[in-house]
Amino acid sequence: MHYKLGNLISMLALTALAALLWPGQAFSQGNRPPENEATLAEGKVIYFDRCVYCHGELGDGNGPAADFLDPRPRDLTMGMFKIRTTESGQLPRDIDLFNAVSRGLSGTAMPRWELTLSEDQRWKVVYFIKTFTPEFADPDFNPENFVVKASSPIPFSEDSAAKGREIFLKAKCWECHGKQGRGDGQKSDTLQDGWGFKLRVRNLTRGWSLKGGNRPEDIFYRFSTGVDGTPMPSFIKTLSEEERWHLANYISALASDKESEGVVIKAASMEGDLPENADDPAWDSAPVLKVPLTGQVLAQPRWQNISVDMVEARALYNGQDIAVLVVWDDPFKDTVHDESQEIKEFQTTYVKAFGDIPRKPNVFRDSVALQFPVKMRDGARKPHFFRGETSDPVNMWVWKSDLQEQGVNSAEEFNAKGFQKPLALQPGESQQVKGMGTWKDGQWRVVLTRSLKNEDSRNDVQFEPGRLIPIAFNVWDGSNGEHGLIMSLSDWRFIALEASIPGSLYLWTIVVMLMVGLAEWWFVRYSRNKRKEI
Amino acid sequence: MSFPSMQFKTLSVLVSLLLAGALSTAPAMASYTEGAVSNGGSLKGSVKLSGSGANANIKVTKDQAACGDSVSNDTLVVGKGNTLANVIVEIQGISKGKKWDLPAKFTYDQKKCAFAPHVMIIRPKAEVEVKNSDSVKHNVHTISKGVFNVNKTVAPGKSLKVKKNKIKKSGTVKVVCDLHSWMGGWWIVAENPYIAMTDASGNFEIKDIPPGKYKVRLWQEKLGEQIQEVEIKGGAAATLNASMAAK
Repeated sequence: MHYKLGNLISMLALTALAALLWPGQAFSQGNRPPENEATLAEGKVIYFDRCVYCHGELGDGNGPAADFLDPRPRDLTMGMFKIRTTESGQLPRDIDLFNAVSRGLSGTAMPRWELTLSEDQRWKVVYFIKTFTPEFADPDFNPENFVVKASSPIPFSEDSAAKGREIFLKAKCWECHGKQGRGDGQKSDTLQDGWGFKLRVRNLTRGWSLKGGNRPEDIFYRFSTGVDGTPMPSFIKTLSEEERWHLANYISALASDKESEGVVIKAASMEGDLPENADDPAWDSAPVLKVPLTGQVLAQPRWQNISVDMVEARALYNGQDIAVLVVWDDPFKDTVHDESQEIKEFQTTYVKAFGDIPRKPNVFRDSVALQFPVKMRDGARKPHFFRGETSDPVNMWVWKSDLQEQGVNSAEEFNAKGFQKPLALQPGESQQVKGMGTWKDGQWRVVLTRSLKNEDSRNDVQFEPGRLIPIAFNVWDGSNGEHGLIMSLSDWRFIALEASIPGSLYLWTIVVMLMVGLAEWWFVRYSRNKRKEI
Repeated sequence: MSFPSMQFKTLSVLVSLLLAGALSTAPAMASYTEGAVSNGGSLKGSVKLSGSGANANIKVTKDQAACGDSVSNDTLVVGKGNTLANVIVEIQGISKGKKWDLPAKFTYDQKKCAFAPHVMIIRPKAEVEVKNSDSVKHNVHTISKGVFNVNKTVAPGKSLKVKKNKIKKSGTVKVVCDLHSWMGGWWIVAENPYIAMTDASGNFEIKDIPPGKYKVRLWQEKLGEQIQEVEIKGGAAATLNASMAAK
């Protein structure tokens, strides 16, 4: 317990420091241990205790977990590091390595070691990591001589961000990152990293997945230094420092948060027909709930290299129907599904990052599923968030891009009684959900519509105003090889239909206020009269 | 975590690493000593392609104004009689011999959205100036196993200068431009001066070789590598005619 408290305090202190200072000096160097044989030996022990499983005994990034990770663990022997404050192709500074170890790398398996290791331990492991690359000992490669200058930061302003947008277009950042920054600029998925592995262009709107951090001062370094080992070049020769600060401000403004407050999708009530189309302005009146997703790692085949890690959901309803809009980013539109390429049996319980499944466009469909319990209960009891249970089934509304492409209704209704059993498709007459999806600029927007209530309460969810109805999400990105149980999923959230406030309620409020007023007036009069009597 | 509490497994891994570290050879910075070669021999020959592998031009998909409508595909250059150009021929394991006959400075150009020359032999510690002779921006992106890595955008008319001490190891450096996906070139950083590249008719020659038995490595970017053995006799010319199989 003591141990945890200590960690928490040091973590808070470090976070506070990091927020105050530039990344180059984000951590005080006061507690930095000396770099000598003794500290190297200690660093080695930490490495073999913590890092070896991914980065390998030889530091070549070939640890036992490596095959399951995308991006693959860094090969520490090549002196090539992505997140630095030094020029392209140069070694990282000690502080760069220390920051990467401490903060972890968002969007990868590299954890935030500041939560587990002390500052002293992290420095020691950095010293040991440097021994894998002989160039660290060569004065010609001393990274301190190649630090990218960040001398005059431009504070964030709308004006600066607007200039940054111009530079984003001029420097053709959108050719890879997409016009809206969703990583959808490339028409094909041919980009590779320096090791020959397929590489996904970073979605700049997902601030939490920017590896080096999402503050302007972090982003500034990414296109100034380039991201070594990837096609992301350094723009230090083609953009001035001022231009790069504007660009950093623009990109930091693109980046959003992963979660919104609360766990309830508040369905907004509206008069007239619900919008069938995802672009209808009527959706603007419905509040958005962001729902984070994770890889499906509960049942074999387990999958952790998901591409969709958040959906935005909102809902509208009228007297008869409810419509749910689900929005998520996906750089490639996949509208076919080749069942023969589905993988039925796996050798390992986790799916390997490369080789096990076809991770390329036009093999599997993109798809989303909404999941609701069938039985409504008043207490906290809910079915298991992963496909329910035998005694507590779930109702699933599954939208499929390939069905839409074929011009048929793109939504199907299923029931599930646990992940061990295949989804049961409901018979034709029970298929009542309508689906409609559109893909634009690296984003799917899908609307699923059904009547609030129907006759099939044994298999279907029933909506009634004022009730919290559990809802969960499954998403498949076809070009990421996802199909079957290889998918991303959320745990339970809730959807609530705002109970509309009857007009009589306002009237009663006024009546009660008047009555209270009258009573008080009478009481005051009464007590004054009494006093006079005395 | 202290030593006594370490598990046996961790310890054994540690020990094995220490052993591996002691046994492994030093990084590929094989030093080469220059000196006089008396009574050296030479190696001549030609390389052919077995099978067929003619390359169609690559259609240019963007920036046509600067790049033209198509560029030649130089990943496999086949001449008359199936001769192969741009094959690297290097004699391995010579640590002492003739003086470097490669210059200390090189120019590598980007012209009409192609690298020129397509394959270039350089020596360790060489200076390289990578020019951009086009009217569009390029990014000079090198991919190598720790030999030399850079990825910088270069504006039209500007150049990227690689300083003297940046390339120290010998090895293969692939150069790409991610803005124009068809662009690709190679720098071969020589281990010793006994290296050559086949010309347009597939011929090569290496001179002043100290007599002895050697392994010769042939390398072509698409066909991979091949190791041959040769014996060089003093004052004589040995011949090596090889063929590489189409893939």
